[in-house]
Amino acid sequence: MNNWMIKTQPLKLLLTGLRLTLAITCMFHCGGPAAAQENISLVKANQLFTVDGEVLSPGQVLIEGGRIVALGESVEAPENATTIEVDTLMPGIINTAGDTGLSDNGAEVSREIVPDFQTLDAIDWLSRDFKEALDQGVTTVQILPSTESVFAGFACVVKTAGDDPVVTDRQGVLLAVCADPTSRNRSRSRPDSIYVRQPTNRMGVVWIVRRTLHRAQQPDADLPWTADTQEILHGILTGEHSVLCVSRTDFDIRSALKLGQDHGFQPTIYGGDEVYRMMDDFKASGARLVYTALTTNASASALRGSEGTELRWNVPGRLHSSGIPFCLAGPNLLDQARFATRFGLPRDEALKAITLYPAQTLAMEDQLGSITTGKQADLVALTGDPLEPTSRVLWTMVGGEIYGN
Amino acid sequence: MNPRNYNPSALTLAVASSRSFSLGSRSLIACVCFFVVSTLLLNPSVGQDAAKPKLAIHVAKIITSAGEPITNGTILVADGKIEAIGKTKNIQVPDGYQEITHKFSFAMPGLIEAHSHVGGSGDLNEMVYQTNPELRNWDQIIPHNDDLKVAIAGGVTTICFIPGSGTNMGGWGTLMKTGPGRPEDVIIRAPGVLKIAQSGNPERRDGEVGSGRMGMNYVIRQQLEEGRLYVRQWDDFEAGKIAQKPKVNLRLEYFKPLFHREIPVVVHTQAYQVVQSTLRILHDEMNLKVVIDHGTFDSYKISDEILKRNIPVMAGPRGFRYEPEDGQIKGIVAEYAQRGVEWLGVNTDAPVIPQEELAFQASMAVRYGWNEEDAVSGITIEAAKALMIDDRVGSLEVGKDADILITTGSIIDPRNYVKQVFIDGVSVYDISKDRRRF
Repeated sequence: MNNWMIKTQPLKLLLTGLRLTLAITCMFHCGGPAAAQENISLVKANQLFTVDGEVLSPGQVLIEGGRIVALGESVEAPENATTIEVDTLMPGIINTAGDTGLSDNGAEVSREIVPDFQTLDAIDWLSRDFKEALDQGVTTVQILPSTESVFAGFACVVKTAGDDPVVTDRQGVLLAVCADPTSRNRSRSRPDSIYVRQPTNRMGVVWIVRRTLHRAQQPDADLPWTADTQEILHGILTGEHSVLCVSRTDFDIRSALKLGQDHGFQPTIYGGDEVYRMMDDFKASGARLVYTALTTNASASALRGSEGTELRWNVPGRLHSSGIPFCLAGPNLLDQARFATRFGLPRDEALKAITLYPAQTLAMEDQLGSITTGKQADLVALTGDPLEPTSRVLWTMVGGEIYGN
Repeated sequence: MNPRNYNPSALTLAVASSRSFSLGSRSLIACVCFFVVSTLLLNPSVGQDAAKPKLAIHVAKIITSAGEPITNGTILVADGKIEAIGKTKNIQVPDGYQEITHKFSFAMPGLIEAHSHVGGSGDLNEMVYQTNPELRNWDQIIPHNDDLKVAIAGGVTTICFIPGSGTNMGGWGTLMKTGPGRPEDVIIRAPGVLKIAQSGNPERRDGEVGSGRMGMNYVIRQQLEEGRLYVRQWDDFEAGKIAQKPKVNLRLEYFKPLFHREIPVVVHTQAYQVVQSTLRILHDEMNLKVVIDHGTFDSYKISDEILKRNIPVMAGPRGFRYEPEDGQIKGIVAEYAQRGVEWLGVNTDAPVIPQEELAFQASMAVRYGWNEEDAVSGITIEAAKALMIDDRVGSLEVGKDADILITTGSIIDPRNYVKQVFIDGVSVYDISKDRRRF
């Protein structure tokens, strides 16, 4: 994967210039002359979870040019196709709240308003994280900036393997509507410290969001930020840039929704630990939730924060029965889906919650998230039913190329 | 201090010191206001979506806080409001009303706390700047949180939830009910009040102006002047006196209701000299509606000036003082009362004193000589008037919110306790079902 770094530079320039759209995404993934795309593979599975349709048992999928070109119980393949037999096949897993390969946690500790920063600039393509993601069946990751700053920067979306891993460099701007940005800031310490600044608590966080968007709305001559920043803030107000709000407590989620209402944007809520306190109101808001509180991994505490103390295993099941659009995100997504089913999420919904629904969250469901003809060939082969704890990932296919075992 | 770094042992220390009377404990007591009790361990809040019940509540005695008590009385409640109140024999209960009879009990208005920090998350003090009119606390209220559930069991149905006194102007507070519901269900008014602190806690010790009272008052005056000028510009524009529309300054927006005298400023002010400057700067110069929200130490000695201006005193949490002149312990509220101050109440500064002990604060004031009837008014209607919400709460009168306590007797006698609590006409605490919480 060494050559990614080189390939990413011109790519990035191009993307910055053109303002990314899915159409461009498509261009990278279906048009390129990569070697993988000349391969034709036929994967035969005892059971094939399409996720957006029937479970095929048996099921076969034909892959050409990095795309799914045919699907069925039995598919006719050309003679030069490589045939691979596995027990179980499911779509590649999509993590919408990842930090895969991200150096320094994606933090900028010196200031609060850096929406023009982007996590893409801090990705270490050699990082072992990518291998770990592939080992767990993850094919697409949205990489979020850290919540150290209130306007923390752009999340990017990348594939976990392949020659053109960058899907978008500017997926959306992350706003930390929670206590996180206060963590380093202090009042009344050494006055020359960079950390003597607002916010030191939530009143300050809300104020910084309000003040910033208000000033962006009525720009004057002495704006305390660059023209780039102003353009992005303006883009938040006009809906050009989507807004990702990290909020975990009931009142922070409400604050995020209200700030969105007051300034004309609909945030996607990331975190959502205490959404169970406000199911009806959340549903009425129409917002989408990226639920990261369901994790089996203590090291994910950075994502989860110290907030929200109640058992949350049953929340995905309740979100589903309430009709709130949500996906699971964070580390160990197969485990998350398994635990969610144990506590009330229907099995088919649990698979969607780590594949199709995150694709919808990213507005990429026409390319990713299910085994469907025409979509990208991002697949996971397992030794058995994905939701059984005894099943393990055999290999992961990204854009038609197989990685792992 | 970052409220997230809450240190329980420090809180214990500070509270313990508030029992002593030495001057040296002032700063420690002052510190208490910084400390924050985490209230994240909550149960899911219950919505109030169900239609409000129609109730006929019969009791042995109704204390109305609006005139004489009514013996053998009945209160009719509909749509969360008091529909009728009077002697049982004079009130006909219409069909469809649920009858609730507490044959040997009292009914009284829900208690009103004029100074509380337990209405939400622990984000009380944002102290980078010395004055913070840009801050508000209603984005992090937690309705019916664990502290408030116990507060209800102590009879408290309304609180003035305010930022801390870590800076000279801590931000805008929220007037809210203690019962369950969504934030919009429980908020009475937001912005409810402005919080200003004039001594002790907000002293700057890092080299900025404001290390002493002169400096702090200078800073407060400058900030209020900026706000007043802003409001005046808008008033002039709206009255057609100036053509140029002023620019919206988000930081100064909430000064509008303050300078229009629609909401009060609650002031962390205590000791004679400090109250003196409260009266002079905030009332005389700025023409604000002022609530003296500590008024402790020797502040009662300036009662004549307070009386001239008709300013309420919601005293506490410290309730008494050692008077060196005659070697006596004096009850602070009683001292005000003896000097003729009638617009008088107490506060807990919860969690400095637990929120549920508001009535105890009044009991202790009575123990030192305050009149019992005045004490009941002090924690109901007088507090409501001070906070400018007496059109909705503070007394049992037709048209007001049905915030009703059923008690075993006078709430001022600590042997009595609260049996049932209605907020907005809904029973939110009932010892026959919930068991006693306090």
